Amino acid sequence: MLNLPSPRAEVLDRRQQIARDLRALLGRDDLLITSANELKGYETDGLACYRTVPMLAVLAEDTAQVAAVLRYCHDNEVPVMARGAGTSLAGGALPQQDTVVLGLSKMNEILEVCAENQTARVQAGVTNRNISTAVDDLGLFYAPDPSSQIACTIGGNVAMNSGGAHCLKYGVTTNHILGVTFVTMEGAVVEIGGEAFDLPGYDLLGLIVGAEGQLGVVTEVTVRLMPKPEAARPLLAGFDSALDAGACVAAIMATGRTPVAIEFMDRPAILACERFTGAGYPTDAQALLIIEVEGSEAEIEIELAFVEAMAREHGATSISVAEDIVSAENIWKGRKSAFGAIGQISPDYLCMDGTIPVTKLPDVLEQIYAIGDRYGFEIANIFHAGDGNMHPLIMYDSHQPGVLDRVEDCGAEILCVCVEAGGCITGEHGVGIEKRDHMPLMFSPEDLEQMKALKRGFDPKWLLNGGKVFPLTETGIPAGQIDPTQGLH
Amino acid sequence: MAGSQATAEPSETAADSPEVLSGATAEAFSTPEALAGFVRETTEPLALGGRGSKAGIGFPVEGRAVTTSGLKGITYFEPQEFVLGARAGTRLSVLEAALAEHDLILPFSPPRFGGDPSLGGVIATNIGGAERESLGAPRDNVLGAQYINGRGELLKAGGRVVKNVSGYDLPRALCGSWGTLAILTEITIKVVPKARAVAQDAPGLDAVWASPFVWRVSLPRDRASALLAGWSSPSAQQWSGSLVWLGADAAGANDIHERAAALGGHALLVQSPDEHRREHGCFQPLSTGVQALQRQVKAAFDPGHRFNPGRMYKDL
Repeated sequence: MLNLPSPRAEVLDRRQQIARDLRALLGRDDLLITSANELKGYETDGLACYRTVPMLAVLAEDTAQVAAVLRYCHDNEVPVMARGAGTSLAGGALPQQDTVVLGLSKMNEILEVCAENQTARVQAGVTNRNISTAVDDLGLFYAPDPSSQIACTIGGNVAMNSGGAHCLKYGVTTNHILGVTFVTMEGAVVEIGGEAFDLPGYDLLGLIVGAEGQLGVVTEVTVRLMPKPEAARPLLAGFDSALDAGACVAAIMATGRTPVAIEFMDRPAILACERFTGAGYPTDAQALLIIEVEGSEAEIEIELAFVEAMAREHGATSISVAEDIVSAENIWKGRKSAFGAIGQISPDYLCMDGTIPVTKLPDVLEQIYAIGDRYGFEIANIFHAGDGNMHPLIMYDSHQPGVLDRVEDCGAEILCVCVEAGGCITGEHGVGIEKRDHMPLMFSPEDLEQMKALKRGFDPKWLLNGGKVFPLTETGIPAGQIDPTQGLH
Repeated sequence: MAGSQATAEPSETAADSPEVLSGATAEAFSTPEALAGFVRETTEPLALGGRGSKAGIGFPVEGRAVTTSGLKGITYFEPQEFVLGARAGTRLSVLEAALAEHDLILPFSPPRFGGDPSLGGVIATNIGGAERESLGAPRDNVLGAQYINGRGELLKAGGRVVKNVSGYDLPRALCGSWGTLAILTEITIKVVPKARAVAQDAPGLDAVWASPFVWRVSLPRDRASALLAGWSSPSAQQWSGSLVWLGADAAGANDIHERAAALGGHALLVQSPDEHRREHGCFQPLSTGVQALQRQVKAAFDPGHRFNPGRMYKDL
């Protein structure tokens, strides 16, 4: 189990006063949540094995309220954490007992769409999917597509620099954000960037996107929209071994003819998803690739033929192409509900998120299965294979005493393998609390100190979403297994 | 970075040698460790540059001249992964020759500014070329960096894979910081198949560069016509109109920063007589809120204000 920072007793003692003050500065009763029952709704996120009921929650309706709450927390030394939909898989939205949760889900308006410039201005609490839905009839869409896109908010995407299946072609969140309204811990409201490409001065957007909500709170976002492709079609390729499928991915990527998405599922994942959604996956296959190509009908035919030939060359045992929009949607529905499907066959699971060089896929997969066998855990692999972003799901039953420690050790070994292969500990989920103690696998104390110096500059009292990203204790990885000063740079 | 060996690079002729900022002889170092040691052992302000192709942009820097052009060579190249790492002083021509053997290109088609710029210079200035819309700016293609901070520590951030959110995105934050935050010593970037290059002419760009003043204006694409209304000097457009180049004869174009801002964009003066930039600078003026955030970032990386002090803005 991860250590969580102890709550500050002196803050908890002031709870009633803080509630009175917040109610006064909001000027309303209904935006402040104080009852233990309602606060339970904010105790966890997508990393549900960790739960802490926060001290209070505020549901902000506009930027001015966010600024007022942050200024109050800064002046009165109260820990505070912004929260969107709470879908983080890394504990990014896990509060502490002394935390005021600053909920942004009420700020869910699409403020402006400019078709000519292919931009949209939205509030932070708008869901990822709703941006694309709102601009669909203009022939545009917002490209980064985390699997939780129906629920997750753009504010959360900005905080975590979220990815998704189609980021293989289009890039991740940071490549699609043009401007933000940023509220500092002191309560200053600063417009950063705008509607134009890039921004003058320092790349503050580059710094804020992916800083896990530790530097300030984003309340509005200007996103770049992309023209929708004429059409897109996924192909399913089944294989007799996960290693063959991994080799196929590496071979396709090496040609440079990048499909829009290449998703990988191994047998446990295929069975779970098929049972859950009936998407038509080949249940006799050991591994499955979903490869999507897009463009005009003519382009699609050419690229599908190429992908099919590559799959057959690497021993595909079954190939099927989505015949129509409904079957294409079913194929993606199966993939995007994969985590929910695993939840149906296993009481609990821990989702890893390491990224590796694509050419190392077959080798790393083999090592992951071996690690799972050694610990006695079944591991389902579902991931964005085209960019090497792996999601091994370690299945377990939390009713077994002490099991979470073993699961986390197992996960730590998998992350070691990813780093040793030239990869990283998190590709798109973020560090949060979950991978906090593994940061030394990639970074020296001085590397981390440079990041912390930035955090201190923006939040000198370390009040904003603290206890995350940086290790509280030494890493749990056995000493000598990996030298944290080696590897990546 | 430990253990990676820089490949040998063909020896340079005199004509290749870097132009040096402000006419002084710049000190060069052949290893990042040596340069970091120099930063630790000295105390004065440093005027940092690469190969000097963009030395004419920004306020002139008072300081001991240091170039990264001695940090040379490709350190990591996996053509099948589309990832390349190189020391900051490696010339673009060297990178492009290595990439061409595998039918690959740099994704951000950096303009040459009349020279053979270093990779570090392109990343530090974040000035990319024609393919911004499809392939991104330099900042969109940076995966990792080794750098020296103001305390002379040799640090790393990011990595070698395209999806990586392990810690703050410092490599991207260093893009476009013009050597005022850190000294980039090695950079890992994405590269792309040659087939993804989209040739884009910018008619009129040569005429723009023939002018004594050249502005590079980024703005929402539907406002290019408003910027160009009544503009009789040379101009050119890229990125479907969201990048406009303006050439001007005299300081009559002094209000371009204001005009760009009024249209929701921003401008950089990329060519101007020395006496003009010495007085007016080249970078877009910023709001007081952004200025305050920038000072915090500067203080976190370079608390002693030793790296290119005042090159972008007087307070950085």
